[in-house]
Amino acid sequence: MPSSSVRPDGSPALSRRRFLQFGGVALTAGALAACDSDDPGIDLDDEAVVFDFADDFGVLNFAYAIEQLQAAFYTTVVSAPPREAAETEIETLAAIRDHETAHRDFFRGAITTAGSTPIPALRLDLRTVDFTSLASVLATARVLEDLSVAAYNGAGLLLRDPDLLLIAGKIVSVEARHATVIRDLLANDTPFAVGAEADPATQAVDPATGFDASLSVSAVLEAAAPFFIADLSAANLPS
Amino acid sequence: MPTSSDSLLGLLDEDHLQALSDAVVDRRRALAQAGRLGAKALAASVPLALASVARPVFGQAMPPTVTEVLNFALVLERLEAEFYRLANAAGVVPSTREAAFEAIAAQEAAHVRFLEGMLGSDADPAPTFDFTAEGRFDPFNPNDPRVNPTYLVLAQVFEDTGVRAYKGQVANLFGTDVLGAALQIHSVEARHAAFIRTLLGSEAWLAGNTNTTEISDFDPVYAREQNVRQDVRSLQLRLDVPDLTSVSRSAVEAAFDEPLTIDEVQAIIAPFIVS
Repeated sequence: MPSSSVRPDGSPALSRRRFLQFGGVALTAGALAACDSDDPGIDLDDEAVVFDFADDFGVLNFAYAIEQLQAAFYTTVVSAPPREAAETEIETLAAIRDHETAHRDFFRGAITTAGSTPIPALRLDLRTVDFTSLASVLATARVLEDLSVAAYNGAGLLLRDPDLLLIAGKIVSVEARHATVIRDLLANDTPFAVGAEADPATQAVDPATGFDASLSVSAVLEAAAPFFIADLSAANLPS
Repeated sequence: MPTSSDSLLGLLDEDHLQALSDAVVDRRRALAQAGRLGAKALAASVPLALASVARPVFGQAMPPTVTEVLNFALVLERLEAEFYRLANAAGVVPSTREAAFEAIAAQEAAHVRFLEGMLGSDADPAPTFDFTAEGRFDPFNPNDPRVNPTYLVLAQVFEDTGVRAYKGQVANLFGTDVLGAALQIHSVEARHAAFIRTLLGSEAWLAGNTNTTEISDFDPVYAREQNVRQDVRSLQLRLDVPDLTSVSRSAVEAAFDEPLTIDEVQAIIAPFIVS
């Protein structure tokens, strides 16, 4: 673990101590930070991962990490769904799980087949999610889906290969479809916002411009950091 | 706000819009001049082993200019904006969904304004639309007896087409200043499409090339959606995704939305355009 992620007192300054505040939902990590030291289930020494954007493999690995997170989240959800979830809701979540798994496996396969080495399978910290609560599951799903849409919209601009840009486009619209379904389950009025008088932060689409979000790689890593055990960072991003 | 400092969202006041528009025009001219030059430069950097793979790409017809792409998108956005404006005015939308439809209408209208602003005097004149397609459809009839209301079916057709239309043009906007905006509109169209499909009782994503509207005229909206092969020519990748994953082939089909060409999109919407 690099020194920058270790505090002066020697305790790991884990990124998951931060708050995830993407899209207006705050997922607090305070409760689990308190049990870091006596939780034997989490090895705090996962090697830091650096996405190198010197070439397109940086983007592919970045996308691979996002898809790992999504696939793992939905796999956990569907393996023991919240008791209150309706059968149709579980079917929807299972379908999304399969799509995210296909995306994850695609990126790993593409990187490998192209002769490069993908980042490892990343261990995740999903303890901020109450998997027994449908509300918690859906709120997290919304954050992950909106985040992935914004991530692809932003990282797509970094790609050097138009074929990869097209493939990113093929995936991001499916993520946007997921986001809408999740939002529709959350609030039965408009799936482009949560609640009739929604906080602007929960608007999926900017009402003035009709544009979806686009986030820089750094912003995405910041937002997703609480979910990953390893520190994730980017190198060679264009200035 | 779901915006970021590096998005184009901050650029939409008039001065910035003009500056961006000028930049795109400059860029377009530069691209037009550099088209062959860029290909040569790229070819020079392609390893010898790849050159034979890469060459046919450059032998294809010239891609559309940025202006052509933006005007193509503008027709679609004008069609969608006008469609939702009329649907909302006609009272065909159930009261529980009025807020959503008003949001969609406003977003499509914003897309129109954005594209018109980008194009400036290069914007094509607005077409006249006929959403009955010469009497075939009656989408704005509040007494529509159909189980699947016609306005929803047409909305699905326009949205699913819109997603595929933008996707088909991202490569043509590659390296231009409008790519970011196109991507940010593209995913909004996908959100709309998912919402409309859900209202019709369909899955939000596309199951193969299944045309859930059950109107055969709209089969082309879903053509090739069963594709599961993804190619990356520069890396010599021809990936059959089902070979890479344990999930079902149908899940793979749904996990990747496919593009349509300009010609394919124009054929789909032609019945709704009078002139």
